[in-house]
Parts: sequence; C-alpha cells; structure tokens
Amino acid sequence: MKKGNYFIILIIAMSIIACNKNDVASINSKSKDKGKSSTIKIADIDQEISYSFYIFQSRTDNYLEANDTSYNFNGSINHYNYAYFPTDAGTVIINQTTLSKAAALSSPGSYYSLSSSMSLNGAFFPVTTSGNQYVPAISDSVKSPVNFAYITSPSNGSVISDNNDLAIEWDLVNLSGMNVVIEIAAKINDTTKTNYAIYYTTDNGSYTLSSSFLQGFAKGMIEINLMRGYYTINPSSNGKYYGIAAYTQHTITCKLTD
Amino acid sequence: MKKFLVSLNFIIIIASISLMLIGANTCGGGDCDSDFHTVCIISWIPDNCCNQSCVTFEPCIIHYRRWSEGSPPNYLDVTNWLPGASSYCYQTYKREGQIEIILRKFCCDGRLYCYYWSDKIPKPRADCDDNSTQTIKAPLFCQHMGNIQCIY
Repeated sequence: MKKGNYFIILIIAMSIIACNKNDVASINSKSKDKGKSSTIKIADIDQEISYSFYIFQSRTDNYLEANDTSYNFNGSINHYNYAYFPTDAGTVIINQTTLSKAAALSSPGSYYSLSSSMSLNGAFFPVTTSGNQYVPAISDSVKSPVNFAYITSPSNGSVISDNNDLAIEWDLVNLSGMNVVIEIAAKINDTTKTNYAIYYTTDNGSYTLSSSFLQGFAKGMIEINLMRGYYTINPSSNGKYYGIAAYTQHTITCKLTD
Repeated sequence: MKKFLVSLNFIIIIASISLMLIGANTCGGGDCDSDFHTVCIISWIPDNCCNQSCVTFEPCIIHYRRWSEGSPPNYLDVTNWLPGASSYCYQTYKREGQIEIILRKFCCDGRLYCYYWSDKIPKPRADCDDNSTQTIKAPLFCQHMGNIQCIY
C-alpha cells in the first residue's frame, strides 16, 4: 500500500476517535438560559463545578397532623460528608475521615461518611483526593461554620397567617461573614400558587417575607430551610472546577393559612 | 489516471480532516441542558430507631419528594419502594446542581404508627459527558407516634 493511503487511513481513524470521545470541553459551558449551573447551594454563584464536596450538619424538625392530632417532632443533629465525582476519584478524605463509596458498581463517583462529630469553630476542614487518570489530585480546605444556625422564629409547627409579614429569625454570629440561604417549599404542590422560593442573604439574624409573598404562596404545610456556612471554589489541575461547602442546616415545618 | 488518484486522495484527506474537526465539537458530547442523568437512592433505618413492630409490619406508604434548583419544587411520590431492600432510581437533568430528598414512611401493624424521614442530601451529579449512575445514601430517622390508626 502506498504511503498516501496509510495517511488517509490514519486521518479517518483519528476522525472516528474524535467522534467517540466525550466532549471534554463541555465542562466549560455555562447554562444557556435555564438557571444557574452551580452545584454548591450555599451561595448564589454561577460557576460550573465538576467535583463537589459537602460537609454539613443537618437537623430536620417535622410537624404532622393526623387523626385530629398534631405531632411535633424535633429531629437530632446529624453529620454528613459527601463527595461527588463523575467517576472513581481514588481515596477521598475529608477532615481526617476517609469516605466510603456509596456503591461500588452503580456509583463510581459517590462518596460518603456519616459520623456524629463536627467542630463548628471556624477552623479549616482539610479535603483531599488521591486522584487517578480520571480525576486529578485535590488538596484544599474550607472554613468550618461557626455554631449551628437554628431557626429561632417561627417555631416548628407554628401556624402562620398570610395577613402579616413573616420574620424568619436565627441565632446570628456577629461579623462571621457566613453565607445564609433560606428556602421556603410547600409540601403540597399547588399549581396556582408559588410553591418554592430561595433567598441568599448574610448572617444578620433575620429575613422578612412580605405578606404579599405569603398570599401568593401555596397554603398548608410548608418547610422553611436555613443553611449557613462557608464555601470555596477553585480550579483543579485539569482546569475543571471543584467546590467545597461547609454549613449547618435547620429545617422546620409550619402551617401557612389564609 | 495518476492525476485522478492524487486528486481523489487530496479530496479524501480534506474530507477526513473536516470530519475530525466537526466531530471534536459535536460528536458524543451530550447536551448539559437536555441529557438525563440517573440518580439512585439507598436508604435505611438505623438500628434501634423505632419499635420493631413498626419496622417489620407492612404495608407501608413511602412518600419521596425531590426538588431541584432549576424548576423547584419537583415532587415525585413513590409508594412502592422499601428503603434498605433496594434502591430507587430516577432520571434527572445532569445539569441540575443540587437536589434535596425527603423520605417519609408510614408503617403500621394496626396498633402502632411511625413516621420516618431523612435529612436533605445534596444530589450527586456528573459531568455533562458522563452517563454513570450516581447513588445517594442516606439514613432514615423515625418517631414513634403511639397507638393510632393508619393513614392511607
């Protein structure tokens, strides 16, 4: 065969390989017009993130009405470490704890650790991945949240009228610089009303929902979720970004009425 | 004839290079805004969490809710999934960043009633060009509610 023909075959083979490979450039694309692409919810940011680390404490208080009786459940504080990658990332360590994989076959990139301790003193949590041919080694840290952020008002199980503004209050930490996210979500979807809202604010101890907002919100049981903490976002050695969030999260259930 | 073959080779080379350049930008990459990504949930009830009769007796009703950043709330009720026995999987947009999960379980043996829920867990995600399944593992917590009737 002539040299020219070998060259043609080589070009064709390269074309086929190019068509079969994944679109590695896609990670740099931003969401077109369908909302934010960020995966770190602790702040209002718009940055495509390929690798995510979450270190958080969570407490969910529930309120339930059944058989003409109401039940008020105060949950306990649970501690979670999660890390998510597109594929296996080798060994993942958060704050001296080696994370486990959620399931070896079905989720090669999901890591977790559930433990009962987490310092809330503003110290830094170290985060590392050993890396492999798919995910680069990462070594970074994030500042731990200061104190658990409890929603102090309203209390779990409160009946809230939409005739008045609603002040959501929490125990602030002065000059903490922590990010605060407040979510309101209806437990029963009402297609004629607003069913979900999210607000990003600072750690000033209070955020007020107007009565007009409440009047347009779905009635019945609603959840109020407050997250407070720090985050960091940086590029890894392959150019893809990773995000680390450390926060506390308190969720309560209330009843919104006309 | 030789000139014809040289010209033919030249055309094929140009066509191949064009194909390669086009392929590098469009082939197999997936669309972050439209492609789906599978997420599975595995959950379990911690030991000594609740009265054993609540855990073991069926039937149960499980309410699973999810919502996403893109179009919240996006609820999905699941009534046939038993935590711990197997995982429950669903498809969602890959681009969706974080998803939160609430699991509620009502078990009853005719005398006792328990209420189960999980904390909110960030949703696993993957690159736009990844098709693997990601799994969330979260414990359920429970509260014994006493001697009342079941609600179905």
